Amino acid sequence: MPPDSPTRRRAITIFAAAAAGAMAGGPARSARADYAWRGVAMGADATILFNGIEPEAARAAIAMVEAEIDRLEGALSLYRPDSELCRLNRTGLLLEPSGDLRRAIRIALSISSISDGSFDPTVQPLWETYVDWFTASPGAGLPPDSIIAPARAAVDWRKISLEPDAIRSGPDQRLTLNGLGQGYVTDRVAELLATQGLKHILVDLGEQRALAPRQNGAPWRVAREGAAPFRLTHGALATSEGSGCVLGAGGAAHHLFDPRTGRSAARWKRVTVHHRSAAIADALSTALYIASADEIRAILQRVTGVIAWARDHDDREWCWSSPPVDGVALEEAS
Amino acid sequence: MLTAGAAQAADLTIASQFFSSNGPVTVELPQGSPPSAIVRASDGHILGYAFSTLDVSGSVGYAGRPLDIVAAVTPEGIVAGARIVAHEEPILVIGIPRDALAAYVAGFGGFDIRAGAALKPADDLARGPHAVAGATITSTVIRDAIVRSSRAVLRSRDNAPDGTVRLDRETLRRSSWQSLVAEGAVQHRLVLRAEASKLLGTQDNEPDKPFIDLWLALATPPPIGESLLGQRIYESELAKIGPDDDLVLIGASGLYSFKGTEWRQSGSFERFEIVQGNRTIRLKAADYTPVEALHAAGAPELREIAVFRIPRSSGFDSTKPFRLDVDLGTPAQAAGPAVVTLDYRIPDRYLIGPAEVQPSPDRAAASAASTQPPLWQEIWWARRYEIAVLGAMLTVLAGILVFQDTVTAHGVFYFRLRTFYMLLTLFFLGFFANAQLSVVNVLTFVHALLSGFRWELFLLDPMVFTLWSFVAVSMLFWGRGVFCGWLCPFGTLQELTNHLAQRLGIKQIEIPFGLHERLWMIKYVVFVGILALSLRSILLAFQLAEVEPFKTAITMKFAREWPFVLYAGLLVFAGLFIERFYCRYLCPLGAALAIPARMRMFEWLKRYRECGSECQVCARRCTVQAIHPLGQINPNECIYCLKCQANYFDHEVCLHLKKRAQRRQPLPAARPTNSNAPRA
Repeated sequence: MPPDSPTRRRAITIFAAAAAGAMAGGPARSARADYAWRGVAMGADATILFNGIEPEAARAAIAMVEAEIDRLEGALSLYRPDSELCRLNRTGLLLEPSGDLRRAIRIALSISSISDGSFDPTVQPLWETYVDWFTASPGAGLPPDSIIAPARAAVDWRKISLEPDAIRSGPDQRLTLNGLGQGYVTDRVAELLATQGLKHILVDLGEQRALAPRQNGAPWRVAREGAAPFRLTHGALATSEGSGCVLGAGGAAHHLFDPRTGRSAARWKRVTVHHRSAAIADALSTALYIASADEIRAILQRVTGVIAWARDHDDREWCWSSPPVDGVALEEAS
Repeated sequence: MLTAGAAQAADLTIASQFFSSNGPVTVELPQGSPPSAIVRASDGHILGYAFSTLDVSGSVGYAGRPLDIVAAVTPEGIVAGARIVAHEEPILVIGIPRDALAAYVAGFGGFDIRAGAALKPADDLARGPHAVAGATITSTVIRDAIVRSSRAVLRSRDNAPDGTVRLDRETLRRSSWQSLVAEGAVQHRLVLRAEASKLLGTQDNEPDKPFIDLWLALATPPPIGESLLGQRIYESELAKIGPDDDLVLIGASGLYSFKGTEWRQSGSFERFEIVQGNRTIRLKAADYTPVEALHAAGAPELREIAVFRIPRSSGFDSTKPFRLDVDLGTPAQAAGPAVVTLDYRIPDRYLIGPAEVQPSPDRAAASAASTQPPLWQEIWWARRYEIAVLGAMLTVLAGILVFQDTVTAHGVFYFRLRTFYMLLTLFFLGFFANAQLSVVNVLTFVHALLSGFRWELFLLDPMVFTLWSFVAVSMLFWGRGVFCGWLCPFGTLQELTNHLAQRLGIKQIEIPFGLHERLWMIKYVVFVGILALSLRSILLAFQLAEVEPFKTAITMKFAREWPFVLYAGLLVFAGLFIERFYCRYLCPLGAALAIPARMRMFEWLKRYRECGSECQVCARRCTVQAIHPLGQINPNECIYCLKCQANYFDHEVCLHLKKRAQRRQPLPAARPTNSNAPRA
């Protein structure tokens, strides 16, 4: 069953000129993207900013982007009952999967492997259990272990198998790509625009990916609550935040489940990851949100080109990196 | 934002005048790609679309300079009106009255674009207004600009349901690999190992080598499919598909195989997909035929080549853009989607526009008739008879030059042949075919070399193109004189009129050689001046090129404003007293040819050792006084008329031969020597 709330609250917003003016104390820059598209992708708000582009070129590009998003949702989205992913979830076997579903699941499984299961694309039954529980009794506390246990038993990424021309999942398993699908779509859309010669763009489908800085060389500025903004020139930023999508009265639970306990993870307030690929950044931010500081250090030893920032519940900032890191910086406080 | 895009665009509102008979109309802002503005009647219905040819098709004139015509076309494909708004065409700037040009352009009103689309090699090349006399190339360009732009606008505006644009599956034509690649019928993407390793998150120690070198083509249209696959495979593949299905050819070389091996087991290809809009089309082993090698001339050798049959039922529409997604394989570690894409759009020439002439029973003929070969091919076909005559003329001339000793040894035959040839040059090449080469051609050529050479521009005039090709070769062999003496209509006009004058007893003026030699310099100065000026302003250079009376005398047959006529007339008049007066001292084209002609290979003009010392007959008789009093022929000035050669063999004229005959009365004539042949 798809989640009830398709849009997830934005922890991060983009500095367009208007937003810059609204930021308390923020410098009012002429950082205006010349053309902006707003739509919906993978059930979330989507924005693409085109810097210094002819309206005609932007329109042509957008027609292409909308078709591409539509196509990818047909493969990866849980909000479409006829998507390949939903068909896989219904029967446990999908024949002739598209290359995009295969690649997205391949990326998901590789992050699961790297993170020792902190990230797991098979957590969908947990989500469904929580949603059912809170739908039935909105004011109740967290569901008891007896409810959680059967769902948790179905969570195991190792049971997913990518076979020649088929994808198979274990009994009672259901997959979600909400932990990296938006990132995956972001990557494909950004690279598609690049093939059209459009580089000065920022694709923001929940994760922000830039192919190049703006035409004047200035970075894209990505703001976040209560901390210095990021300056993004290349690659993607993804943020996981428990408060992004809360369940139950008073926020008893949220969507980022620890697959090992079946409970919403609570170590960090917020984790932001930068990587060349939005899909990787997206999945890693979920994985790191669930992991402990020691685990995060271990995970980062297995990947390259990653920088991660975390804020704990005492509002302390943490930062780890696995070089080479390129394309992102924190803006110095002015 | 709209205004930003249309900043340099012409003002389309003048298009409202084209529809003035429909009462008040409004011209909206230009939109779409290509940009065009909707013209609406007062009741709101669409009367047509206005556009600028420069915006739509980047129209250029003969000199490669912008040419902008604002025109409007009705939804039915009728040109509502056209007006030239900007234009730097030098050939038109001078000589063609503005009114005549405006009338010519306005004459496109009522021209049926779609009937024009049915053009086929035929004599009715221009069903619309034909060309403006004396400015053939540009006027064909004008026609092309209006017709092509109208079609492009109509195509973009035609949002009728499917079937308005079809793929041309009938027209047969063979194309080379290079031309298929050049027109975009074959698309290419090279993925280096550096790029692949970045996408796959791996290291590569040979980053500059190809990971995969991909080629993609829609093989359905015969010119693409048959050229690439060869007739046998193409036809066997066609036999396997339905009338609306398509063939796609994918080829690759490099480290990575796009086919992989999984398909043998699973029955479908995993490494690549065809993507069109929101559709993903996966390809099955059953739809696949391996191909050994590409058939087209010049095609590279590829490691794997495959043809895939794509059924229309898959939703694939070959008239629309699509792309190939190739998965680069499993990333070594956390890396994003490792996919490369290759975009494809079938070039417009393989599409057939809205088919309202559909109910023709003979489908093949109908669709063949509605495709359009490149403009220059139409022109060549339409002028094929003139080209054939020119070809024959050039063949004869080549014969004269190669067998010049034999020809000139028969004096009477030579003089008659030459007179006949000159008449042909003057009346056929000059007055009939307007094939008068000009220094303007030289400038255009130099500027084309400077700003990006395009064969198409020169192919637009087949006569001039053929002539120049011949002149280039003859110049290399014998010098610049072959053109000047035999193929220049104005030159022959002067020579013929001078002969007439001599017959009528007009006394010729002899210019002392010392002065004569110095007057030669004028033409070089004129040429260098024109060339130098052209670098600053080609327009001014073309105006200065009016030093040439060619256009007035030959192309426009003296039907021009009086100052031009007076000038050309004076030159011809001067030519009555001094043979080829203009050629000798003024002609910048002669100068332009003389300079590169210093590279010539052959010195075939014969002289006796005694020439110049004992006798000056040839020098005095020389058409352009190119023979030095000391006997040498100056090849820079020589027009290769061969008169001196006829004299050389003429026992009545040549003093040397006469003397020898007297000396050795009883003996047969000795072998002439050419040890005194001129050296440059």
